[in-house]
Amino acid sequence: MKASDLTRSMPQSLIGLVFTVMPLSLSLWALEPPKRWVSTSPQLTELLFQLDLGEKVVGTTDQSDYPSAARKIRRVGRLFAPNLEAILSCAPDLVLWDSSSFDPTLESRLFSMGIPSLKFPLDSVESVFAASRRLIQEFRPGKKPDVLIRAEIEWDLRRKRNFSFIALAWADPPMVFGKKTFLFSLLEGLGGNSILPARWNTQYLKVSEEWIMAQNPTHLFYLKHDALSAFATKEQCKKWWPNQTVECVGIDAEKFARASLTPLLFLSTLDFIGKNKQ
Amino acid sequence: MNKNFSTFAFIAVLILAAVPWMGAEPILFGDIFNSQTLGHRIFWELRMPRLLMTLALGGVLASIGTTYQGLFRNPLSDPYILGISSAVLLGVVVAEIGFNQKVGTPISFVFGMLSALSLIFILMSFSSSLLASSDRLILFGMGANFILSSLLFLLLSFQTQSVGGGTLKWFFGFLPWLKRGDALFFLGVSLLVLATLVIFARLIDALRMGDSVARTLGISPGGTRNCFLLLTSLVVALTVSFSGTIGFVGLVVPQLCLILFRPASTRVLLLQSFGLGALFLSLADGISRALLPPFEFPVGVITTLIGGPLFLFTLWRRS
Repeated sequence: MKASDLTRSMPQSLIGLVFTVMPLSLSLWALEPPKRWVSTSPQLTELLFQLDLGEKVVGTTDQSDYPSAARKIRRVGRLFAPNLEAILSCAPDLVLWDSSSFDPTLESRLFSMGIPSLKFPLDSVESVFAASRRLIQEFRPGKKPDVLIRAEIEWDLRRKRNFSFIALAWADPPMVFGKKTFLFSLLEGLGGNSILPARWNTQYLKVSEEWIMAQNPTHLFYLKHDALSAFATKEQCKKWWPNQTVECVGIDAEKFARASLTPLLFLSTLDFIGKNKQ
Repeated sequence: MNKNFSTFAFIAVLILAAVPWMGAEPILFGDIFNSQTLGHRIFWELRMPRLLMTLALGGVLASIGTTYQGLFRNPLSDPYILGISSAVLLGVVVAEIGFNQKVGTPISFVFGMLSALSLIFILMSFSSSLLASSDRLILFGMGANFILSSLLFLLLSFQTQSVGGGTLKWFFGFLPWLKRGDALFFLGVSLLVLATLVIFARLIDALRMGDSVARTLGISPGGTRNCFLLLTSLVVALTVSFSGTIGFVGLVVPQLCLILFRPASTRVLLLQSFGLGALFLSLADGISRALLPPFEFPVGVITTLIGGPLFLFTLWRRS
């Protein structure tokens, strides 16, 4: 455990940080690894289960529905809004954050009550691999889970295509996946060329319909949550590109919406991408 | 001591007794004396500091509202009327979008304060000449609010990185979980602000009667108003950097005090406002935590839901 891994936020003296936090964090891990974890995001919870660390999770936020075992875990708040009292009631000895749900004030208060936190950015394929390897290294050393090995192999052997894309988070009003999202990173990794301007280096972006219509990607991706929303998005695509020059591709939200190893295990289901164009 | 004040004291005791029991986790009465229980930890380490902080914050917002309503001779004045809150919010959003600093980090706090200080500097630069009258000051505040809010929503509409995270809920007031020492410090600062305002309340009384009357009493209206504005603006900037904007406390509480207690002077009104504001925010915070646990509503939403009807009530009573 490195001292720098302990996320810090509220003003604390540097002396306190160096002489209190470092030895405390080191000794905590060295003496006894944490056994009761609270995960503050659905994708992190899913990742923990995939890495066989799910049995340690005693609390998580709403919408942590994958795998099914995660549904039985106690809820400590809404998505992006964990409740401090509810976290404490789980008696955790570690709280895990992904950077999109990170709340520095809450983390600071937990730390002052003797509960350390770990933060993982899960905004790209590489960051998911890095988080997985870190978690394994720290808490399950010596045994790399099969699912991680499979995901790494799938990713290494992925078939690269040549396509340009927009990925829609919502169609109406249009909001696109930005460069700091897992799905964007995944599609880029498959050979996709982003048509987003370089300065749009963020998570999600509201865009105008005019802007979308003015683009000419080979593919537009959208998440298929249900048949109705998929139909509505298809209709939007027809409106934006009446000549159907752009291929509108619905991808299964259940498999691809979260930043975990799951999308990597289902890469083969995206093999159809670009076939018509090549 | 009139009958209203006795009733108020009784309700105050009830609220203070009830609020620490409101929250996401149920606590047994016996737990608070048993240091081995989780209830003991939650009660003493979380809820009591939170109660102290809401008392301090509510009190200071209401007393600044009272001060502004006196200084500007306008019952619609509240602590955010000069645009300081919008300036802080803008600074915080710039920190988040430009520098990836979430609300609550020191850099975000610094950005919020720098933005507010810039506005205070502009305010102070113009207040001796262009903004010599209270009406012009209010108009300046309205203009600043419009401009800064537009910039804020321009940034927010450009991207939604803040949506769902801390920033948006913080816009409507979100109280952090302080440590006991920090909460006591905060309470101390708020009492210091109250004491300062009470000591100089005589000057607010003079300004309330109009600038010409103040001059005949040997008081410089512009200079005095500037001193009050500098102090209160700094305090407002601090509170907004800390907890976002919490509506209606500074607006409705002074009006309620005027109707309920009919204070004889601004000094008394300041004390009453501090007390009622403290209780109002504490109760609203308790409700925000207990309404739909473990979800915690932004406290500003609750103060607005309660404060709005109360404000209409004060209008009705005045008519």
